[in-house]
Amino acid sequence: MSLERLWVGLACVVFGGTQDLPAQPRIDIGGESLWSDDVQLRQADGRWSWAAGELGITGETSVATNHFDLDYEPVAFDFRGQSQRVSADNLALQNIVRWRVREDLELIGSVGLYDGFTNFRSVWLAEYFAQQFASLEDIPGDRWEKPDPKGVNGGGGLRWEYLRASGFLEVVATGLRDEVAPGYEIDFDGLSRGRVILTGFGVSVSSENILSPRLRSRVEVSGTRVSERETRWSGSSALNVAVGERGVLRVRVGGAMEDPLFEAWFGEATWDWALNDAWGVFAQGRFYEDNGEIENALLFTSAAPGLRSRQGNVGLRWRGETSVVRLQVGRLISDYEPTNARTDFFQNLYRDRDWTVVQFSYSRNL
Amino acid sequence: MNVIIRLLGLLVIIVASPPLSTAQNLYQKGDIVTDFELVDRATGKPTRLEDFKGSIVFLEWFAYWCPFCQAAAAEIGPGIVDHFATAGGNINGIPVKHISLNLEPLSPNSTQMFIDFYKLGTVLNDFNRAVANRFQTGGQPIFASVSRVAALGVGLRGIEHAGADLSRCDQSGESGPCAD
Repeated sequence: MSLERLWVGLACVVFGGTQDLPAQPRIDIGGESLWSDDVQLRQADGRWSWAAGELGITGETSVATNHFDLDYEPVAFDFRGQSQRVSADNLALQNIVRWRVREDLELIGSVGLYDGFTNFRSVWLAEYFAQQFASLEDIPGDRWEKPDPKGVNGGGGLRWEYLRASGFLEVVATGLRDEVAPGYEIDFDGLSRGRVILTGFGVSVSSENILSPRLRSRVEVSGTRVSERETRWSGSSALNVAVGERGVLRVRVGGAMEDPLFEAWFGEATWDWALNDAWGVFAQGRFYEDNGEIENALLFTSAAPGLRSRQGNVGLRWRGETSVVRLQVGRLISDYEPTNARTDFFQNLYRDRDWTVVQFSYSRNL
Repeated sequence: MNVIIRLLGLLVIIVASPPLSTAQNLYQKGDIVTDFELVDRATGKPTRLEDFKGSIVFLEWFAYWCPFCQAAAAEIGPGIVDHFATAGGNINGIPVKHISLNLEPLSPNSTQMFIDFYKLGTVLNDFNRAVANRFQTGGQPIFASVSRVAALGVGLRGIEHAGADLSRCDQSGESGPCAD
């Protein structure tokens, strides 16, 4: 995942995190593992949803940890590079509180922080820059520094339920401050370190409507501005359709764009079928495509080339009196466009990969 | 030739860098290159361009820490040096001599590792950029090809045509196949 894609992801977490708060206290725990032939990713997360009914306050506290293992492999022409097993961890906390101040109006507040690399791309690039520049002692300019990525975010907004239990409009504004693992450039003026601190601000507007007993829709538009970048606009539209007494079809499409060149879009569909009161099966397909990150470097850039990915999952669900268990497995195929003269150094980062995905989740109402 | 295409891609990037000083001393395509003298890194002896009389000279500048130099050096060996050595010179039978020019005076051990890794042959030290600055100022030239080295002078080929020129050039003079 690129920095930009990470921001989109963060924005989704922050902006989208308020939409599905349960009406009653609940705990959710989950785990996910993705692996290809050279990268292994593991995530575990837990979420506690709580309510202080008399005060009209509900909230959600979540914690997630990621672990990255990758077999770093420099390109063949990199005489300073060495094959290396690299590992990194990440811990993230997020808290969201909602306060119903009127029957049809809720105030929303959120705060979150994380410590550590947020994706394997950042881990790979940090290793590359370390191998290239950490040992340079006679070069003028900046010095290489060991990266220590971390960040915080906070936001606020409101939800107006303009149709009781069947339609709402939500507006959330979020600010972010990240300390990232910087990139480097080098020339005869010396070594130059890229930005370490990134700040961002985003606004999201979403609306969800129950159109009929069998049809529910959601539309979301957001704009996010990150340090010295143009505003990235993104939007998505989702439709849930109840099919018969046992089936649900969920379809979601969306895209993003940022001047001058970045464009991305995705589509996904999930078919959920209840076998009986307890057991169900589901299948999911997802497609994503973008035209590559915006290159803002003079000569040397780690910007990702265009990416196309397809994912297919199948899963099994069990629902009890107060609990739900879900297990799903799938394949994710990610194909990058070829690197060019500016990005050849990152051929082994931006190479095509076939991933296996296993996800598990458990939810229990308290 | 894929190698040539990729090298030309690099050249476009380098050439696109704006010059930082006056351009009156910069060589242009078709100019006669003035003879120069640099120290051979391996022998410590002074070496002149005219020492390579009778060859097409392919100049490659590098610094050990330069990522683009790494990418280029890896392709020069099989793509140009080996190719023309196997072919017995270019299409007209003129030998192609590859000369590397080291721009970095510090960290000689790292420079030697670079030379060993990419199996560079003749390496001259151009520490004060005396030659490099005639081809490009502000930044770094990666390649230049000098089409013919003769007693009367040296014809400089446009670097954007490096690969093609190496294949076509003969020593018939400015109006020959080397001239545009």
